[in-house]
Amino acid sequence: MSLSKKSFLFLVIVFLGCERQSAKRIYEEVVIQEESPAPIRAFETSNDPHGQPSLAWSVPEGWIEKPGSGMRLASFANPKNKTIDVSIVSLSGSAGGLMANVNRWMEQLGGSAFHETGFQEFLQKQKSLTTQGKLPCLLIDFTSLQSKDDPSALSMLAGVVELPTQTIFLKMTGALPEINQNREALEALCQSLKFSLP
Amino acid sequence: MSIVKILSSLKITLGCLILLFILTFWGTIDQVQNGLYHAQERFFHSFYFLVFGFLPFPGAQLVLWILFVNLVCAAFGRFEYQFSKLGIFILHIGVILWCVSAFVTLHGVEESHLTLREKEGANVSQSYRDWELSIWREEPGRRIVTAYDAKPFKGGQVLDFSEFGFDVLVKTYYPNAEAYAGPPSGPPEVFNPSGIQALEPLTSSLEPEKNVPGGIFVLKQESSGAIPPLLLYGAENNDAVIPVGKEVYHFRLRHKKYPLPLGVRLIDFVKEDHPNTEIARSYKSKVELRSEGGLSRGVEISMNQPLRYKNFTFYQASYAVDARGREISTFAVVKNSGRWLPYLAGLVTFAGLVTHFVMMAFQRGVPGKILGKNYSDIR
Repeated sequence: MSLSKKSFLFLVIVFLGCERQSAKRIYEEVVIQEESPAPIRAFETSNDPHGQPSLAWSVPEGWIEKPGSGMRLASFANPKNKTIDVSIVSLSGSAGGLMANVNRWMEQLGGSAFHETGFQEFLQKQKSLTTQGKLPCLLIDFTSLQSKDDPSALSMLAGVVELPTQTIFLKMTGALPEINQNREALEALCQSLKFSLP
Repeated sequence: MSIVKILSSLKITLGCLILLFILTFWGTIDQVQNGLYHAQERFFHSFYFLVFGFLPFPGAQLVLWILFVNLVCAAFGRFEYQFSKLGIFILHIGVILWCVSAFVTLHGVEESHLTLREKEGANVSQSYRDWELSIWREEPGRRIVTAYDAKPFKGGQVLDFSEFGFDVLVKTYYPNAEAYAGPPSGPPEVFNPSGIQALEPLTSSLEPEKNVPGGIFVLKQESSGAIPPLLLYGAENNDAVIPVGKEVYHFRLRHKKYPLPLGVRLIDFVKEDHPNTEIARSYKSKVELRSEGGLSRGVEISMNQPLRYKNFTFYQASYAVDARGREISTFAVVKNSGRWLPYLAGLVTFAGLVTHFVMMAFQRGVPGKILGKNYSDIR
Protein backbone atom coordinates (compact mmCIF):
# COMPACT_ATOMS: atom_id res chain seq x y z
CA MET A 1 0.00 0.00 0.00
CA SER A 2 1.45 3.37 -0.86
CA LEU A 3 0.50 6.89 0.04
CA SER A 4 1.25 9.68 -2.43
CA LYS A 5 3.58 12.49 -1.36
CA LYS A 6 0.86 15.08 -2.08
CA SER A 7 -1.62 13.34 0.22
CA PHE A 8 1.00 13.14 2.93
CA LEU A 9 1.87 16.83 2.61
CA PHE A 10 -1.85 17.69 2.75
CA LEU A 11 -2.25 15.76 6.01
CA VAL A 12 0.81 17.51 7.51
CA ILE A 13 -0.57 20.96 6.57
CA VAL A 14 -4.00 20.12 8.01
CA PHE A 15 -2.40 18.87 11.23
CA LEU A 16 -0.15 21.93 11.64
CA GLY A 17 -3.07 24.21 10.85
CA CYS A 18 -4.98 23.03 13.92
CA GLU A 19 -4.47 25.93 16.35
CA ARG A 20 -6.27 26.31 19.66
CA GLN A 21 -8.22 29.54 19.98
CA SER A 22 -10.07 31.19 22.80
CA ALA A 23 -13.40 29.43 22.55
CA LYS A 24 -16.64 30.97 23.69
CA ARG A 25 -18.46 28.83 26.20
CA ILE A 26 -21.97 29.15 27.56
CA TYR A 27 -22.93 27.15 30.63
CA GLU A 28 -25.43 27.14 33.46
CA GLU A 29 -24.04 27.69 36.92
CA VAL A 30 -26.06 26.74 39.96
CA VAL A 31 -24.79 27.57 43.43
CA ILE A 32 -26.70 26.08 46.35
CA GLN A 33 -26.15 28.01 49.56
CA GLU A 34 -27.89 28.08 52.91
CA GLU A 35 -28.87 31.65 52.19
CA SER A 36 -28.01 34.12 49.47
CA PRO A 37 -24.61 35.75 49.91
CA ALA A 38 -24.59 39.33 51.08
CA PRO A 39 -23.51 41.97 48.57
CA ILE A 40 -19.91 42.96 49.09
CA ARG A 41 -18.98 46.59 49.17
CA ALA A 42 -15.77 48.03 47.77
CA PHE A 43 -12.87 47.93 50.27
CA GLU A 44 -14.86 45.79 52.65
CA THR A 45 -14.81 42.04 52.67
CA SER A 46 -17.64 40.01 54.00
CA ASN A 47 -17.06 36.33 54.70
CA ASP A 48 -20.37 35.40 56.21
CA PRO A 49 -23.12 34.54 53.76
CA HIS A 50 -25.77 34.28 56.45
CA GLY A 51 -26.87 37.84 56.82
CA GLN A 52 -25.40 37.99 60.32
CA PRO A 53 -22.82 40.61 61.30
CA SER A 54 -19.58 39.77 59.60
CA LEU A 55 -16.05 41.00 60.05
CA ALA A 56 -15.10 43.96 57.85
CA TRP A 57 -11.96 46.04 57.46
CA SER A 58 -10.38 48.69 55.25
CA VAL A 59 -7.26 48.00 53.27
CA PRO A 60 -4.44 50.36 54.34
CA GLU A 61 -3.01 52.63 51.68
CA GLY A 62 -0.29 50.99 49.63
CA TRP A 63 -1.36 47.45 50.50
CA ILE A 64 -3.24 45.06 48.28
CA GLU A 65 -5.76 42.57 49.51
CA LYS A 66 -5.67 38.96 48.37
CA PRO A 67 -8.53 36.52 48.77
CA GLY A 68 -8.62 34.36 51.86
CA SER A 69 -7.55 30.75 51.65
CA GLY A 70 -7.67 27.93 54.19
CA MET A 71 -7.87 29.47 57.65
CA ARG A 72 -7.20 32.99 56.38
CA LEU A 73 -10.13 35.35 56.03
CA ALA A 74 -7.89 37.62 53.99
CA SER A 75 -4.24 38.20 53.15
CA PHE A 76 -2.48 41.44 52.37
CA ALA A 77 0.81 42.35 50.72
CA ASN A 78 2.76 45.50 50.17
CA PRO A 79 4.18 45.52 46.62
CA LYS A 80 7.04 47.76 47.80
CA ASN A 81 8.04 45.43 50.67
CA LYS A 82 8.17 41.94 49.23
CA THR A 83 8.82 40.12 52.53
CA ILE A 84 5.67 41.43 54.18
CA ASP A 85 2.84 38.93 54.61
CA VAL A 86 -0.29 39.93 56.53
CA SER A 87 -3.18 37.68 57.40
CA ILE A 88 -6.48 37.87 59.23
CA VAL A 89 -7.49 34.65 60.96
CA SER A 90 -10.47 34.13 63.23
CA LEU A 91 -10.62 31.08 65.47
CA SER A 92 -13.40 29.98 67.75
CA GLY A 93 -13.11 30.38 71.53
CA SER A 94 -9.76 31.43 72.99
CA ALA A 95 -7.80 29.54 70.27
CA GLY A 96 -5.55 27.92 72.86
CA GLY A 97 -5.00 31.08 74.89
CA LEU A 98 -2.92 34.21 74.32
CA MET A 99 0.20 32.94 76.09
CA ALA A 100 0.30 29.71 74.09
CA ASN A 101 -0.02 31.64 70.83
CA VAL A 102 2.61 34.22 71.76
CA ASN A 103 5.01 31.46 72.78
CA ARG A 104 4.37 29.61 69.51
CA TRP A 105 5.18 32.78 67.57
CA MET A 106 8.31 33.30 69.69
CA GLU A 107 9.51 29.85 68.67
CA GLN A 108 8.74 30.59 65.00
CA LEU A 109 10.99 33.66 65.29
CA GLY A 110 13.78 31.60 66.82
CA GLY A 111 13.26 32.84 70.38
CA SER A 112 12.49 30.91 73.52
CA ALA A 113 9.09 30.71 75.17
CA PHE A 114 8.04 32.99 78.04
CA HIS A 115 7.40 31.81 81.56
CA GLU A 116 4.26 33.13 83.26
CA THR A 117 5.96 36.08 85.02
CA GLY A 118 7.99 37.09 81.98
CA PHE A 119 4.89 36.87 79.81
CA GLN A 120 2.89 39.22 82.08
CA GLU A 121 5.77 41.73 82.05
CA PHE A 122 5.96 41.51 78.24
CA LEU A 123 2.20 42.04 77.95
CA GLN A 124 2.28 45.17 80.08
CA LYS A 125 4.65 46.78 77.57
CA GLN A 126 2.33 46.16 74.61
CA LYS A 127 0.06 48.79 73.10
CA SER A 128 -3.71 48.34 73.10
CA LEU A 129 -6.30 50.16 71.05
CA THR A 130 -10.00 50.17 70.37
CA THR A 131 -11.06 49.52 66.80
CA GLN A 132 -13.65 51.36 64.75
CA GLY A 133 -16.15 48.67 65.70
CA LYS A 134 -15.38 49.16 69.46
CA LEU A 135 -13.39 45.92 69.66
CA PRO A 136 -10.42 45.72 72.07
CA CYS A 137 -7.22 45.01 70.17
CA LEU A 138 -3.84 44.21 71.72
CA LEU A 139 -0.76 44.83 69.54
CA ILE A 140 1.99 42.31 70.21
CA ASP A 141 5.32 43.77 69.10
CA PHE A 142 8.15 41.26 68.75
CA THR A 143 10.57 43.76 67.20
CA SER A 144 11.45 45.12 70.65
CA LEU A 145 12.91 41.72 71.52
CA GLN A 146 15.20 41.64 68.49
CA SER A 147 18.52 43.23 67.62
CA LYS A 148 18.27 45.89 64.93
CA ASP A 149 21.73 44.91 63.60
CA ASP A 150 20.41 42.10 61.42
CA PRO A 151 18.23 43.59 58.63
CA SER A 152 17.26 40.16 57.31
CA ALA A 153 15.96 38.88 60.66
CA LEU A 154 12.38 37.56 60.51
CA SER A 155 10.09 39.55 62.72
CA MET A 156 6.43 39.87 63.57
CA LEU A 157 3.80 42.32 64.68
CA ALA A 158 0.39 40.97 65.60
CA GLY A 159 -2.96 42.37 66.62
CA VAL A 160 -5.13 40.14 68.81
CA VAL A 161 -8.83 40.75 69.39
CA GLU A 162 -10.21 38.49 72.13
CA LEU A 163 -14.00 38.15 72.10
CA PRO A 164 -16.23 35.86 74.16
CA THR A 165 -16.84 33.47 71.26
CA GLN A 166 -13.82 33.94 69.03
CA THR A 167 -10.31 35.31 68.78
CA ILE A 168 -9.21 37.34 65.77
CA PHE A 169 -5.53 37.46 64.82
CA LEU A 170 -4.07 40.08 62.48
CA LYS A 171 -0.54 38.87 61.90
CA MET A 172 2.23 40.63 59.95
CA THR A 173 5.51 38.78 59.30
CA GLY A 174 8.53 39.87 57.29
CA ALA A 175 12.06 41.26 57.50
CA LEU A 176 12.62 43.47 60.56
CA PRO A 177 13.16 46.81 58.69
CA GLU A 178 10.05 46.21 56.54
CA ILE A 179 7.99 45.35 59.61
CA ASN A 180 8.96 48.73 61.06
CA GLN A 181 8.03 50.46 57.78
CA ASN A 182 4.57 48.83 57.79
CA ARG A 183 3.86 49.24 61.49
CA GLU A 184 1.42 52.13 60.99
CA ALA A 185 -0.40 50.30 58.20
CA LEU A 186 -1.03 47.28 60.44
CA GLU A 187 -2.26 49.56 63.20
CA ALA A 188 -4.60 51.20 60.66
CA LEU A 189 -5.87 47.76 59.63
CA CYS A 190 -6.51 46.88 63.29
CA GLN A 191 -8.21 50.24 63.81
CA SER A 192 -10.58 49.62 60.88
CA LEU A 193 -11.81 46.28 62.19
CA LYS A 194 -15.54 46.10 62.80
CA PHE A 195 -18.54 43.85 62.53
CA SER A 196 -20.98 45.08 59.95
CA LEU A 197 -24.36 43.97 58.75
CA PRO A 198 -24.37 42.99 55.13
CA MET B 1 10.98 4.07 -2.84
CA SER B 2 7.48 4.96 -1.62
CA ILE B 3 6.93 7.46 1.19
CA VAL B 4 5.52 4.65 3.35
CA LYS B 5 8.76 2.67 3.03
CA ILE B 6 10.81 5.71 4.06
CA LEU B 7 8.55 6.50 7.02
CA SER B 8 8.51 2.91 8.24
CA SER B 9 12.32 2.81 8.57
CA LEU B 10 13.67 1.05 11.64
CA LYS B 11 16.24 3.86 11.94
CA ILE B 12 13.38 6.30 12.63
CA THR B 13 12.01 3.97 15.34
CA LEU B 14 15.43 3.73 16.96
CA GLY B 15 16.01 7.50 16.70
CA CYS B 16 12.63 8.18 18.33
CA LEU B 17 13.30 5.75 21.17
CA ILE B 18 16.71 7.37 21.85
CA LEU B 19 15.12 10.86 21.81
CA LEU B 20 12.37 9.71 24.19
CA PHE B 21 15.04 8.38 26.55
CA ILE B 22 16.90 11.73 26.44
CA LEU B 23 13.69 13.75 26.93
CA THR B 24 12.51 11.61 29.85
CA PHE B 25 15.89 11.86 31.56
CA TRP B 26 16.29 15.59 30.86
CA GLY B 27 12.71 16.41 31.87
CA THR B 28 13.06 14.49 35.14
CA ILE B 29 16.22 16.40 36.03
CA ASP B 30 14.76 19.74 34.90
CA GLN B 31 11.60 19.49 37.01
CA VAL B 32 13.71 19.67 40.19
CA GLN B 33 14.87 23.17 39.18
CA ASN B 34 11.91 24.53 37.23
CA GLY B 35 8.90 22.71 38.62
CA LEU B 36 6.72 19.91 37.31
CA TYR B 37 4.39 22.05 35.20
CA HIS B 38 7.16 23.83 33.27
CA ALA B 39 9.07 20.58 32.71
CA GLN B 40 5.89 18.96 31.35
CA GLU B 41 5.17 21.91 29.07
CA ARG B 42 8.74 22.24 27.77
CA PHE B 43 9.79 18.63 27.29
CA PHE B 44 6.62 16.60 26.91
CA HIS B 45 3.75 18.78 25.67
CA SER B 46 5.79 20.73 23.10
CA PHE B 47 6.64 19.96 19.49
CA TYR B 48 10.06 21.55 19.95
CA PHE B 49 11.92 23.79 22.40
CA LEU B 50 15.05 25.92 22.23
CA VAL B 51 18.25 24.90 23.98
CA PHE B 52 20.43 27.88 25.01
CA GLY B 53 17.75 30.11 23.51
CA PHE B 54 18.50 29.31 19.84
CA LEU B 55 19.10 25.59 19.25
CA PRO B 56 15.83 23.74 18.46
CA PHE B 57 15.36 20.31 20.03
CA PRO B 58 12.36 18.03 19.34
CA GLY B 59 9.77 17.81 22.12
CA ALA B 60 8.10 14.55 23.17
CA GLN B 61 4.88 15.38 21.34
CA LEU B 62 6.69 15.64 17.98
CA VAL B 63 8.73 12.50 18.68
CA LEU B 64 5.61 10.53 19.64
CA TRP B 65 3.78 11.68 16.50
CA ILE B 66 6.74 10.56 14.36
CA LEU B 67 6.85 7.24 16.23
CA PHE B 68 3.10 6.82 15.72
CA VAL B 69 3.35 7.49 11.97
CA ASN B 70 6.41 5.23 11.81
CA LEU B 71 4.57 2.35 13.48
CA VAL B 72 1.45 2.77 11.34
CA CYS B 73 3.56 2.85 8.16
CA ALA B 74 5.50 -0.19 9.37
CA ALA B 75 2.20 -2.02 9.86
CA PHE B 76 1.21 -1.31 6.24
CA GLY B 77 4.55 -1.22 4.44
CA ARG B 78 7.13 -3.36 6.18
CA PHE B 79 5.35 -5.85 8.33
CA GLU B 80 5.18 -9.49 7.15
CA TYR B 81 1.74 -10.84 7.91
CA GLN B 82 2.57 -14.39 8.93
CA PHE B 83 0.97 -16.48 11.62
CA SER B 84 4.37 -16.94 13.29
CA LYS B 85 4.58 -13.17 13.84
CA LEU B 86 1.10 -12.76 15.34
CA GLY B 87 2.52 -11.80 18.76
CA ILE B 88 4.73 -9.05 17.27
CA PHE B 89 1.74 -7.72 15.32
CA ILE B 90 -0.42 -7.54 18.47
CA LEU B 91 2.49 -5.82 20.27
CA HIS B 92 2.60 -3.15 17.54
CA ILE B 93 -1.13 -2.57 17.91
CA GLY B 94 -0.55 -2.23 21.68
CA VAL B 95 2.15 0.43 21.19
CA ILE B 96 -0.06 2.34 18.72
CA LEU B 97 -2.85 2.23 21.33
CA TRP B 98 -0.42 3.70 23.89
CA CYS B 99 0.18 6.61 21.50
CA VAL B 100 -3.58 7.05 21.04
CA SER B 101 -4.14 7.06 24.84
CA ALA B 102 -1.34 9.63 25.26
CA PHE B 103 -3.08 11.85 22.70
CA VAL B 104 -6.51 11.47 24.28
CA THR B 105 -5.09 12.06 27.77
CA LEU B 106 -3.19 15.17 26.63
CA HIS B 107 -6.16 16.74 24.90
CA GLY B 108 -9.10 15.20 26.72
CA VAL B 109 -8.28 15.38 30.42
CA GLU B 110 -9.59 18.25 32.52
CA GLU B 111 -8.29 18.59 36.06
CA SER B 112 -10.16 20.87 38.41
CA HIS B 113 -11.45 21.09 41.96
CA LEU B 114 -14.76 21.55 43.72
CA THR B 115 -14.70 23.24 47.12
CA LEU B 116 -17.88 23.25 49.20
CA ARG B 117 -18.88 24.27 52.68
CA GLU B 118 -21.34 22.04 54.48
CA LYS B 119 -24.86 22.51 53.02
CA GLU B 120 -23.45 24.18 49.91
CA GLY B 121 -23.69 22.71 46.44
CA ALA B 122 -22.54 23.45 42.90
CA ASN B 123 -22.69 22.07 39.39
CA VAL B 124 -19.37 23.49 38.18
CA SER B 125 -15.81 22.75 39.22
CA GLN B 126 -12.96 25.21 39.03
CA SER B 127 -9.59 25.09 37.28
CA TYR B 128 -6.39 25.26 39.31
CA ARG B 129 -4.53 27.48 36.88
CA ASP B 130 -6.67 28.55 33.92
CA TRP B 131 -8.78 31.72 33.95
CA GLU B 132 -11.81 33.01 32.11
CA LEU B 133 -13.65 36.25 31.54
CA SER B 134 -17.24 35.56 32.58
CA ILE B 135 -20.33 37.68 32.08
CA TRP B 136 -23.81 36.85 33.32
CA ARG B 137 -27.13 38.34 34.23
CA GLU B 138 -27.98 37.69 37.86
CA GLU B 139 -30.90 35.39 38.39
CA PRO B 140 -31.97 33.78 41.66
CA GLY B 141 -30.31 30.39 42.22
CA ARG B 142 -28.84 30.04 38.75
CA ARG B 143 -27.02 31.99 36.14
CA ILE B 144 -26.34 31.47 32.45
CA VAL B 145 -22.67 32.37 32.07
CA THR B 146 -20.95 33.32 28.84
CA ALA B 147 -17.19 32.95 29.17
CA TYR B 148 -13.99 33.13 27.16
CA ASP B 149 -10.76 31.35 28.12
CA ALA B 150 -8.31 34.07 29.13
CA LYS B 151 -5.13 32.23 28.15
CA PRO B 152 -4.91 33.52 24.55
CA PHE B 153 -6.07 37.08 25.36
CA LYS B 154 -4.08 39.77 23.57
CA GLY B 155 -4.38 43.53 23.55
CA GLY B 156 -6.73 44.63 20.75
CA GLN B 157 -8.71 41.36 20.68
CA VAL B 158 -12.47 41.77 20.43
CA LEU B 159 -14.70 39.24 22.20
CA ASP B 160 -18.16 38.67 20.82
CA PHE B 161 -20.96 38.92 23.40
CA SER B 162 -23.63 39.68 20.82
CA GLU B 163 -26.30 37.82 22.83
CA PHE B 164 -25.96 40.63 25.40
CA GLY B 165 -25.89 43.31 22.69
CA PHE B 166 -22.26 44.34 23.10
CA ASP B 167 -18.67 43.29 22.37
CA VAL B 168 -15.73 43.48 24.76
CA LEU B 169 -12.37 44.82 23.64
CA VAL B 170 -9.34 43.44 25.50
CA LYS B 171 -7.35 46.64 25.94
CA THR B 172 -4.62 45.19 28.17
CA TYR B 173 -4.15 41.73 29.60
CA TYR B 174 -1.39 40.46 31.90
CA PRO B 175 -1.27 36.71 32.72
CA ASN B 176 0.32 37.63 36.06
CA ALA B 177 -0.04 41.04 37.64
CA GLU B 178 -0.11 43.03 40.85
CA ALA B 179 -2.93 45.44 41.57
CA TYR B 180 -2.61 48.93 43.05
CA ALA B 181 -5.15 51.24 44.59
CA GLY B 182 -5.35 54.60 42.89
CA PRO B 183 -4.64 58.08 44.23
CA PRO B 184 -7.17 59.22 46.86
CA SER B 185 -8.32 62.25 44.85
CA GLY B 186 -9.22 62.81 41.24
CA PRO B 187 -11.64 60.96 39.00
CA PRO B 188 -10.81 57.30 38.34
CA GLU B 189 -9.63 56.42 34.84
CA VAL B 190 -11.03 52.90 35.05
CA PHE B 191 -13.90 51.29 36.91
CA ASN B 192 -13.14 48.58 39.44
CA PRO B 193 -15.48 47.39 42.21
CA SER B 194 -12.64 47.05 44.75
CA GLY B 195 -10.98 50.38 44.10
CA ILE B 196 -8.05 49.03 42.09
CA GLN B 197 -6.81 51.65 39.66
CA ALA B 198 -3.63 50.22 38.17
CA LEU B 199 -2.03 46.91 37.23
CA GLU B 200 1.65 46.12 37.13
CA PRO B 201 2.74 43.10 35.03
CA LEU B 202 4.80 40.41 36.74
CA THR B 203 6.91 37.60 35.35
CA SER B 204 4.86 34.42 35.19
CA SER B 205 5.49 32.18 38.16
CA LEU B 206 7.11 28.77 37.72
CA GLU B 207 4.08 27.45 39.61
CA PRO B 208 1.25 28.66 37.35
CA GLU B 209 -1.42 28.30 40.04
CA LYS B 210 0.26 31.29 41.74
CA ASN B 211 -0.30 33.56 38.74
CA VAL B 212 -3.06 36.13 39.17
CA PRO B 213 -4.08 37.80 35.90
CA GLY B 214 -5.50 41.23 35.40
CA GLY B 215 -6.71 43.25 32.47
CA ILE B 216 -8.53 46.30 31.24
CA PHE B 217 -11.62 45.67 29.13
CA VAL B 218 -13.75 48.11 27.15
CA LEU B 219 -17.43 47.57 26.43
CA LYS B 220 -18.20 48.30 22.81
CA GLN B 221 -21.79 49.03 21.89
CA GLU B 222 -23.69 51.77 20.17
CA SER B 223 -24.62 53.67 23.34
CA SER B 224 -21.75 52.78 25.69
CA GLY B 225 -20.19 56.22 25.81
CA ALA B 226 -20.76 56.63 29.55
CA ILE B 227 -19.18 53.30 30.60
CA PRO B 228 -15.52 53.72 31.56
CA PRO B 229 -12.97 50.97 30.83
CA LEU B 230 -13.32 48.06 33.24
CA LEU B 231 -10.35 46.87 35.29
CA LEU B 232 -10.70 43.25 36.38
CA TYR B 233 -8.24 41.45 38.64
CA GLY B 234 -8.18 37.71 39.35
CA ALA B 235 -7.78 38.00 43.13
CA GLU B 236 -10.83 40.18 43.64
CA ASN B 237 -13.78 39.03 45.72
CA ASN B 238 -16.18 41.36 43.95
CA ASP B 239 -18.05 41.19 40.67
CA ALA B 240 -18.14 44.31 38.55
CA VAL B 241 -21.85 45.03 38.22
CA ILE B 242 -22.56 47.16 35.16
CA PRO B 243 -25.96 48.30 33.91
CA VAL B 244 -26.15 48.17 30.12
CA GLY B 245 -29.45 49.30 28.67
CA LYS B 246 -32.25 47.75 30.73
CA GLU B 247 -30.15 44.83 32.01
CA VAL B 248 -27.55 44.55 34.75
CA TYR B 249 -24.50 42.41 33.97
CA HIS B 250 -21.89 40.86 36.23
CA PHE B 251 -18.29 40.81 34.96
CA ARG B 252 -15.59 38.71 36.56
CA LEU B 253 -12.08 37.53 35.72
CA ARG B 254 -12.06 34.23 37.58
CA HIS B 255 -10.74 30.69 37.50
CA LYS B 256 -12.13 28.75 34.57
CA LYS B 257 -15.25 26.77 35.43
CA TYR B 258 -16.07 23.31 34.11
CA PRO B 259 -19.73 22.22 34.02
CA LEU B 260 -20.38 18.89 35.76
CA PRO B 261 -22.98 16.36 34.61
CA LEU B 262 -24.61 16.53 38.06
CA GLY B 263 -25.05 18.83 41.01
CA VAL B 264 -23.01 18.00 44.13
CA ARG B 265 -24.13 19.16 47.59
CA LEU B 266 -21.99 18.61 50.69
CA ILE B 267 -24.23 17.25 53.44
CA ASP B 268 -21.63 16.46 56.08
CA PHE B 269 -17.87 16.25 56.38
CA VAL B 270 -16.42 13.77 58.86
CA LYS B 271 -12.81 13.85 60.06
CA GLU B 272 -11.46 11.17 62.34
CA ASP B 273 -8.19 11.80 64.18
CA HIS B 274 -5.68 9.35 65.59
CA PRO B 275 -6.38 8.98 69.34
CA ASN B 276 -5.19 11.95 71.46
CA THR B 277 -3.83 13.83 68.43
CA GLU B 278 -5.11 16.26 65.83
CA ILE B 279 -3.58 14.20 63.04
CA ALA B 280 -6.24 13.05 60.58
CA ARG B 281 -6.68 9.27 60.38
CA SER B 282 -9.36 9.53 57.75
CA TYR B 283 -11.76 12.02 56.32
CA LYS B 284 -14.84 11.56 54.24
CA SER B 285 -17.63 13.62 52.74
CA LYS B 286 -21.28 12.70 52.62
CA VAL B 287 -22.67 14.30 49.49
CA GLU B 288 -25.98 14.47 47.71
CA LEU B 289 -25.86 14.01 43.95
CA ARG B 290 -28.55 15.62 41.85
CA SER B 291 -28.67 14.38 38.29
CA GLU B 292 -30.04 16.36 35.36
CA GLY B 293 -33.28 14.39 35.48
CA GLY B 294 -33.92 15.66 39.01
CA LEU B 295 -33.06 12.39 40.75
CA SER B 296 -31.17 12.64 44.00
CA ARG B 297 -29.08 10.13 45.97
CA GLY B 298 -26.60 10.17 48.82
CA VAL B 299 -22.99 9.05 48.30
CA GLU B 300 -19.90 8.91 50.51
CA ILE B 301 -16.54 10.05 49.10
CA SER B 302 -13.49 9.16 51.18
CA MET B 303 -9.72 9.20 50.78
CA ASN B 304 -9.55 5.78 49.11
CA GLN B 305 -13.06 5.68 47.67
CA PRO B 306 -13.48 8.23 44.90
CA LEU B 307 -16.81 8.75 43.21
CA ARG B 308 -16.90 7.79 39.53
CA TYR B 309 -19.71 9.13 37.36
CA LYS B 310 -19.57 8.87 33.57
CA ASN B 311 -16.12 10.25 32.59
CA PHE B 312 -15.72 12.10 35.89
CA THR B 313 -13.89 11.02 39.02
CA PHE B 314 -14.22 12.95 42.30
CA TYR B 315 -11.38 12.41 44.77
CA GLN B 316 -11.45 13.59 48.40
CA ALA B 317 -8.52 16.03 48.24
CA SER B 318 -8.44 18.25 51.34
CA TYR B 319 -10.49 19.97 54.00
CA ALA B 320 -10.51 23.19 56.01
CA VAL B 321 -12.54 24.95 58.70
CA ASP B 322 -13.78 28.49 58.17
CA ALA B 323 -14.03 31.29 60.72
CA ARG B 324 -17.49 30.16 61.84
CA GLY B 325 -16.29 26.63 62.44
CA ARG B 326 -18.03 25.23 59.37
CA GLU B 327 -16.17 22.45 57.64
CA ILE B 328 -15.06 22.85 54.03
CA SER B 329 -14.35 19.89 51.79
CA THR B 330 -12.35 20.01 48.56
CA PHE B 331 -12.68 17.38 45.84
CA ALA B 332 -10.20 16.96 43.02
CA VAL B 333 -12.27 16.46 39.86
CA VAL B 334 -10.76 14.68 36.88
CA LYS B 335 -12.59 14.34 33.59
CA ASN B 336 -10.95 11.79 31.35
CA SER B 337 -12.84 10.78 28.23
CA GLY B 338 -10.38 7.98 27.51
CA ARG B 339 -9.65 6.62 30.95
CA TRP B 340 -10.01 3.03 29.74
CA LEU B 341 -7.54 3.48 26.89
CA PRO B 342 -4.32 2.98 28.93
CA TYR B 343 -5.82 -0.21 30.43
CA LEU B 344 -6.75 -1.44 26.96
CA ALA B 345 -3.29 -0.57 25.58
CA GLY B 346 -1.62 -2.38 28.50
CA LEU B 347 -3.86 -5.41 28.00
CA VAL B 348 -3.15 -5.58 24.24
CA THR B 349 0.61 -5.19 24.83
CA PHE B 350 0.49 -7.95 27.44
CA ALA B 351 -1.49 -10.20 25.07
CA GLY B 352 1.08 -9.53 22.32
CA LEU B 353 4.01 -10.46 24.59
CA VAL B 354 2.27 -13.62 25.84
CA THR B 355 1.33 -14.69 22.31
CA HIS B 356 4.87 -14.07 21.07
CA PHE B 357 6.61 -15.97 23.89
CA VAL B 358 4.14 -18.86 23.84
CA MET B 359 4.55 -19.24 20.08
CA MET B 360 8.35 -19.06 20.45
CA ALA B 361 8.24 -21.72 23.15
CA PHE B 362 6.15 -24.13 21.10
CA GLN B 363 7.76 -23.45 17.74
CA ARG B 364 8.63 -26.84 16.30
CA GLY B 365 12.35 -27.75 16.49
CA VAL B 366 13.65 -24.52 17.96
CA PRO B 367 14.28 -25.57 21.59
CA GLY B 368 16.37 -28.57 20.57
CA LYS B 369 18.65 -26.83 18.05
CA ILE B 370 21.72 -24.73 18.68
CA LEU B 371 23.73 -23.47 15.71
CA GLY B 372 22.15 -26.08 13.52
CA LYS B 373 23.14 -28.99 15.73
CA ASN B 374 20.80 -31.18 17.69
CA TYR B 375 20.96 -30.61 21.42
CA SER B 376 21.38 -34.34 22.09
CA ASP B 377 24.45 -34.45 19.79
CA ILE B 378 26.26 -31.85 21.91
CA ARG B 379 25.62 -33.78 25.08
